[in-house]
Amino acid sequence: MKKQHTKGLKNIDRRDMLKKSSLLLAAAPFYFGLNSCISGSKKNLDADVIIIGAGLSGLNAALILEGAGLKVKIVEATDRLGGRVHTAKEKDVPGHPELGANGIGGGYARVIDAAEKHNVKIGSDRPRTEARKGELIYHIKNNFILPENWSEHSLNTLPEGFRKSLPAYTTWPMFSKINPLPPNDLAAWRNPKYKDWDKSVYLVLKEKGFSDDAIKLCMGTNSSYGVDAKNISIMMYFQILTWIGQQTASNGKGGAIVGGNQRLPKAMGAAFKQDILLNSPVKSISAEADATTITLNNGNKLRAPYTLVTLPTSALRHVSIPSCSTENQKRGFTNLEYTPVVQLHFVPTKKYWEEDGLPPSMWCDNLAGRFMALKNDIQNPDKVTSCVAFLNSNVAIEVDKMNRKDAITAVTKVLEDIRPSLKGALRFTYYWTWINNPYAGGAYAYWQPGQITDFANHLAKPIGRIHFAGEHTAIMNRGMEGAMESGERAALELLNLIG
Amino acid sequence: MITLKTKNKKLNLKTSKIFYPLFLLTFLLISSCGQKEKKEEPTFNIKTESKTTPIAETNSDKTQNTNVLGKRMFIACAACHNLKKGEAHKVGPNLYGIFGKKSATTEGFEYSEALKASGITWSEETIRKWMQDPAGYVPQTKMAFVGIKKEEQQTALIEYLKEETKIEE
Repeated sequence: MKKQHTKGLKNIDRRDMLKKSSLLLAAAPFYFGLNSCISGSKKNLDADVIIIGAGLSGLNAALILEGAGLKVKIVEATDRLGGRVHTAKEKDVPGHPELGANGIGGGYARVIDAAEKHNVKIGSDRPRTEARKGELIYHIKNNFILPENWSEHSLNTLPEGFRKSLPAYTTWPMFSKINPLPPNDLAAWRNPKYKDWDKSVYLVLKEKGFSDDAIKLCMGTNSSYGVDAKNISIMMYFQILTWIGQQTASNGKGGAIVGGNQRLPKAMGAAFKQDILLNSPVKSISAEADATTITLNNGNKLRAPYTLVTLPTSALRHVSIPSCSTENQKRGFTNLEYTPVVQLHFVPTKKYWEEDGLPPSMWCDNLAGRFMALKNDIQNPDKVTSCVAFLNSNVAIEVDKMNRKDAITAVTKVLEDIRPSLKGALRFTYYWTWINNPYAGGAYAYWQPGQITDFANHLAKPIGRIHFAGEHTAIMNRGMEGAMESGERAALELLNLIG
Repeated sequence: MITLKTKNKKLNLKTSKIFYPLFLLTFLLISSCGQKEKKEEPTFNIKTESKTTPIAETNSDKTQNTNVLGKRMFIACAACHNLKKGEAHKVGPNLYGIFGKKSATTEGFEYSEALKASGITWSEETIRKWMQDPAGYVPQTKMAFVGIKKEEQQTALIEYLKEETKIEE
């Protein structure tokens, strides 16, 4: 099935290209004529700028540069546009949930603008399962605990003053109170002025009287960022909180792309008039005084005065590049990690929640992770269209190390063991990993203690004629908007150089 | 320009008749070897060669505002701001007639309390300060903008905005 899709894309490319080839030929003599007048060496160039990666940052940069009249070529390792914006196919998971980037905030100015420009509709946010009464039940240390019973439960080891909050939400209000960053000042998290706060969440929680068990409850299970409290900087949480505040204050209308977020990169790719080479992983990038050369895994070489790399550092680590511009940048490229995420998708074959009278979704401290019943049918908003065991942190890493079959068996067994009504109630349909994926290595960048101070301001520094973009280089935004922001920044950087 | 285009069209017709089948043949041959690597090469070699020239030409033809740097810097503003009379507000307000205007007074846009209370009147000087670091100039503004730090870029953008937001007579 996957192959068919690839083939389809290629066919379109080829047809499209054939259609245009006559035009190209007509213009070719003129082009060559002009070119040879300007410079002999330019004949060997394949573009003004080569962009590596067809995610939102690469596509946004490409469209800006093309709009300014430059010759741009995009190379993409996979057979798909969008990178970590990735909507499941309907045939793989009913309701086609997002496998990657999810919500669009009210302040996602560039995403909202691009959607409008490329005729992609933003609709309401997809319904998510929240830890409210009737929607979700906790499963901690082999006990089912309803959210309404949590505050008095014997397994609730949270310190006084926090016992009423649910594990997933305990830390946020407190982090918000101690957040030193000025409201709406989205760049402040990188300001060395606050560097004393670039320390682990674990240290801060310890100071606030949290036991190791309580810390594990809040941060070690189903944590959306990083792996555990010790390896994540609280400054990242401050950034997220400040940014959420600004998103909330903003006037835009966010939500989700109707039909799936992947329609946006697809539409951007269609609007881009020049080449996108799919299935073309890059092996190495080199820079000379007047040009850059990229070598693809297949041995083909491309040359251009500038190359823009939009890969996550995890993917960049597989590419040979010249020496970094600073030691800090080198440490960043080597050490910046991505939040591990693995998803196992199921279709419920019966209403197991009616059988045992418990809520359909579960928050588990075992291999089932966040087991969520998704409702993705707009016509039928109460219908559970699919279920996903959404695994984060160490659980995701553990499961992803197994071979695929064993992983599916292990997670399914845990689900059936903890909840008998799930026996025979789930049909496995799709496995998706962001970890075991050479072009992602995780879902989104996370900052370990000290890393923001050490290299956040160094990652996007050009190495000669090689420039950098991507979500991890964004200053003001996160997620999809961060990717768009970084592409825009890099495109302007290049335009100011090229003139 | 026009003669060139017509020429091209003629050329196009002639050449395509000869080259179309030739290209088709090449592609069939290449794809039949089943080697991905080789398949892709002609794609980029052929496709790009022709294109840039026309793009660059149409662009320069259309540009009325000759302030290249200012226009370029506005790329960083365009996702949030429209400039022409009657155009919608985006995530940021429409900036039509902004020079000389009191801050936070354009109808139909919900401004932050901070900007409403700032008492700023938009002039070259205040806009320069604003575009350099909005959050530093008016703390708690909603505007999420990293800032333009280079003076020549600020100046060019101010000139561009002056021209593009000018009140129509």
